[in-house]
Amino acid sequence: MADLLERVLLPVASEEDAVTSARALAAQDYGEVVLVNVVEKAGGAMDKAGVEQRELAAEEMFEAARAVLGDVESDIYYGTDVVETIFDAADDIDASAIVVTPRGGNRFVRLITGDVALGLVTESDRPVVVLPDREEADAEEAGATDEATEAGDDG
Amino acid sequence: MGDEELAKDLGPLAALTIGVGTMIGAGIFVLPGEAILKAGSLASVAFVLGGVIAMFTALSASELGTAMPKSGGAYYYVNHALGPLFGSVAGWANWLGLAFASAFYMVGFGRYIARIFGISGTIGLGPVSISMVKIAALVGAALFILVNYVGAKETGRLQNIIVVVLVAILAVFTLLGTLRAEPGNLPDPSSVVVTLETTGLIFVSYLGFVQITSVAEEIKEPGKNLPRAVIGSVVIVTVIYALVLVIMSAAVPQGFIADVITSGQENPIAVVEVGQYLQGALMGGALLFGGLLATASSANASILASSRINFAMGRDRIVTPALNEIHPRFGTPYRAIGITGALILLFIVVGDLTLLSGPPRACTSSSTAC
Repeated sequence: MADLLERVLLPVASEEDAVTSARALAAQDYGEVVLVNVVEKAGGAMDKAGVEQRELAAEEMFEAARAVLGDVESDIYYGTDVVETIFDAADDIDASAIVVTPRGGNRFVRLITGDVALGLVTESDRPVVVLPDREEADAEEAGATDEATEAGDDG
Repeated sequence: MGDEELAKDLGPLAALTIGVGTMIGAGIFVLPGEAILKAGSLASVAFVLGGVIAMFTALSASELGTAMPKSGGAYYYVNHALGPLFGSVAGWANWLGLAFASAFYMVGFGRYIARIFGISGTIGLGPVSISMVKIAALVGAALFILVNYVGAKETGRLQNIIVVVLVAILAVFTLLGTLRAEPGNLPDPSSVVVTLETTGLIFVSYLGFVQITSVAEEIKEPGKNLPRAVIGSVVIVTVIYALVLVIMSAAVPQGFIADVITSGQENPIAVVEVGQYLQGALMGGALLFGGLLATASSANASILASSRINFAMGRDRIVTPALNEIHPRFGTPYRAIGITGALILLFIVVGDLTLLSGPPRACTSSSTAC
């Protein structure tokens, strides 16, 4: 377990996601962590939002995660395909595993936004660890202690 | 590597199509009939004059865009050169102007929809009545706002294809039209003053090129590609406007345009009628389809550009930075787009076509959207 989470890439997609993911990771025994936010590019056309605007948003996400994890590395990546870009980032930083917490959302929202967590698991070329959202998990089964650990075994 | 350079993925063609795509919708597909009616054979002179005036702005815009490739474009330059007072004026004017222009494009879009599906008339909703054109405009606008609210990246690429298809349709139209053009068909020129007034009316056709500067930070090698895109789009669009206007007045019998506009037929679209007259139903259909695409792409680019201006204004605290919140799932500036969208819908409801395109003036006929 400790080996698998030796050098974690933690993708963050929003401030809320950053906090959730950071909290989920903080409950584990891990080594180093690098936060990554992907600025989705249209690839030769106008983007849905300005780059500078999303870089600022990314910094806010990193801050939110650092509030939980302490002072950790972070980097912004740019790419047309979020899943692929996360894998590229994992290569760059030589991550031992990519850690995600599912963001839920109904079918319609997933259809529009694409399900990044699903893409990471199905197209994976390196271990992907899916951790449950601590807050939700705690609320649902207050007694359970290691509900997160089995998720890491498939990596 | 989280390489900053990868953020710049707009090549020269993509940057050019943003400018051409934003401009061409109004110029060709909404205003020419009105312009010919007003200025006669000098209508294309009015368009060329508009292009020359736009070129002065284009030259300074490309200079500034190269020096400061930042999100927000014109607003950003004014704010940083002249301070927040002028910055506010420029920002608000730019933002409202884009919402206004989008409403204008969408009314044009509504006319095309109404024409294609052969719907017309008005529907009474209690004390108010609303035309089918406006209903189509409202539905279309709502759709484009929604698409940008949830942020489909495919729309941007679609824009490039749309512009290429449009330019191709217009090139064929112009080439074939040239064979039929006779100087004798030209309507009488109107006075210089009326021509200048017409330039004022059609100037909205040139409002798009500045939008290239609002995405300056996304352009590859902005120092080279930005000026080329800005100046190039003004030149291309001016040439297309002038040629199409000449064809529209010289290749059809005198009075054809006036007849179309005053025919009592609802939602006349001059360029489509001319295409149909010259080259048959196929060209009429192609132009109808082209007009639909053009007005849609103009509106879409304007909505995207306006969120950049909102962002720049929010960063300088001219509007509340809360507007710039990025949607946690969609990754879009959803509040800015929502507010801009509401403005567009409002302008469609309260405005009419000629009011949207220029200074208020007397309606030229009872059949246009007065």
